Amino acid sequence: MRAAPESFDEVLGPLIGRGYALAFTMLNDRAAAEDAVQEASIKAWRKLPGLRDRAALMPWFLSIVANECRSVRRGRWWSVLKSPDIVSAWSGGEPRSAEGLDLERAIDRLGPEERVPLLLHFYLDMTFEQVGIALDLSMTAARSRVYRSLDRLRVSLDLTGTVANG
Amino acid sequence: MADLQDELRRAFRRRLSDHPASPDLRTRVAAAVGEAPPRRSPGWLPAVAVMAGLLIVAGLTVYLMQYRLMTKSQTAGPTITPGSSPTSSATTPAPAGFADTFAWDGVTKRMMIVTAVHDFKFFGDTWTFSGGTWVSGPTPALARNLTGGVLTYDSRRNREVLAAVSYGAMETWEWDGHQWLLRSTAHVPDPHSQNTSGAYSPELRATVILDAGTMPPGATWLYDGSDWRAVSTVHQPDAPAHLEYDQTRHSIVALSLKDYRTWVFDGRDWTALTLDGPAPTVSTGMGRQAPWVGLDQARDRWILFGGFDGLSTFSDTWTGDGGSWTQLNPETPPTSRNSVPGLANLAWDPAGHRLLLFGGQVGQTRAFLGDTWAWNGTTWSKIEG
Repeated sequence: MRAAPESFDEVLGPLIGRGYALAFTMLNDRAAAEDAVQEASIKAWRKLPGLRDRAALMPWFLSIVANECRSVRRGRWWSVLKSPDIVSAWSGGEPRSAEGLDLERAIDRLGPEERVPLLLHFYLDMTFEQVGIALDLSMTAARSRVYRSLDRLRVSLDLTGTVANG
Repeated sequence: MADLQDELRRAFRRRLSDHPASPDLRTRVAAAVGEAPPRRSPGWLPAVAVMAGLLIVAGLTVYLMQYRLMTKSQTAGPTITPGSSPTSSATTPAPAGFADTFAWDGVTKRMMIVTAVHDFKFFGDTWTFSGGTWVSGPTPALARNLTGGVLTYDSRRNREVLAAVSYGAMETWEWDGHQWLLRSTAHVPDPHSQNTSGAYSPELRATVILDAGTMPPGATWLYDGSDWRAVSTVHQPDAPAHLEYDQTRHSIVALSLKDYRTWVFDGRDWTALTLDGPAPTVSTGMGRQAPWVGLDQARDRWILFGGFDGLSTFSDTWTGDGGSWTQLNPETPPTSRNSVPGLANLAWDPAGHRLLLFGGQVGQTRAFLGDTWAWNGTTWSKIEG
């Protein structure tokens, strides 16, 4: 077990990028995601002395980010936000193939709670155990959530007949 | 689409590179929590950010390349398409080191594995182990999108029963030594998770399955060869549990993977046995996750091996009689590893009077192993792979 953390930049700083990835995936809005990460970081920094298992720091921090994002989504500001105010997550940027566009649209059609398990497991390479901590689920439930989201994605993509070729 | 996993990764990367965080987000957050990092010159800060970004991308690329190479080397085996037959009589190790179901096939008198979907690849094939080698097929692929299941031998009817989980839906398959048949039953168990475990009870004349640890607790389901019947019990393990048939108690027993107490099922309810002394719990990380568990039928002892606490994998061996646990120190234990959560465990080989351990995963790397080990009550020995 390591000694008490010395600085924010050393302990939570390296996790800010992942926190933003999670927040943006949940909120689809850059400014809101950055605000959520900032609020979550403040809460995490205050709660850090109570974290007994430092090995779980990353998923623990992401669980705070996820909760902050859920609070944002429940908030009045978010509920009255008009859809054009939220940019398409896939607008602009590098060119992509038609296949890539199909996948991006399929991901967009998923709800935030379905996108997030895929992001955590397949983009951030988190284990099912870590995904479970981040989403406040058991390991089994996290695994089920990942595969259920994947199933939804595959249905959307009509990949049922070709997944074996992966 | 050649590889959905890679496409997903690329899609998320594009998504985030199209909408990156502000370059100074980390600094702003640090300042907000009242402990900003050392102030950097605004003139060279963008250059540092660009260099850091390039290093991260390069590091990530190298990591992904290594991971793919490692995965490919671990998963070498026949390519199987859903609905098609795997290569018959191949004598390569079972693919990828995972055994979603692993049990004695009393019909053909061999150990049997049925595999499922892993990392977007459909396997759904069967493998048998006899004479020191794994042989694939020759059965055709089973349930499409099988994600797990319970394999038991119904000795009364001489049928291998597969209670298959297929993305939440339960399917019942039977193997008669010639073909797998999908059975239609009047009742179907509720959707079960991959933690479902089961065993056949000659006394109850039924395959018994339980998905313990769910909220709310689910029923215990019995399959008699014609239909499923739900038994709502007052008590049951409050965490995922591993089920076996105990030939000494003539009962289905379950080992809770949370507190390592033994539960006994009498056909109507579950009863927990009193546990004295130390248990195979670990206090580090997230506690022991996904250990290997089996019942040594010759000595009537639980055997527990390895596991993963989220940080480290273990290679310790424990034995339990239902009332207490003892840590053993075998000379040549298998290398540290964990079972895939909710999937394969140790399986009793009645022909060899031994427990067999196949494959497994190595902690955070998620690399699969493909070796086979035997436990004879005293020592581990590597017998294949």
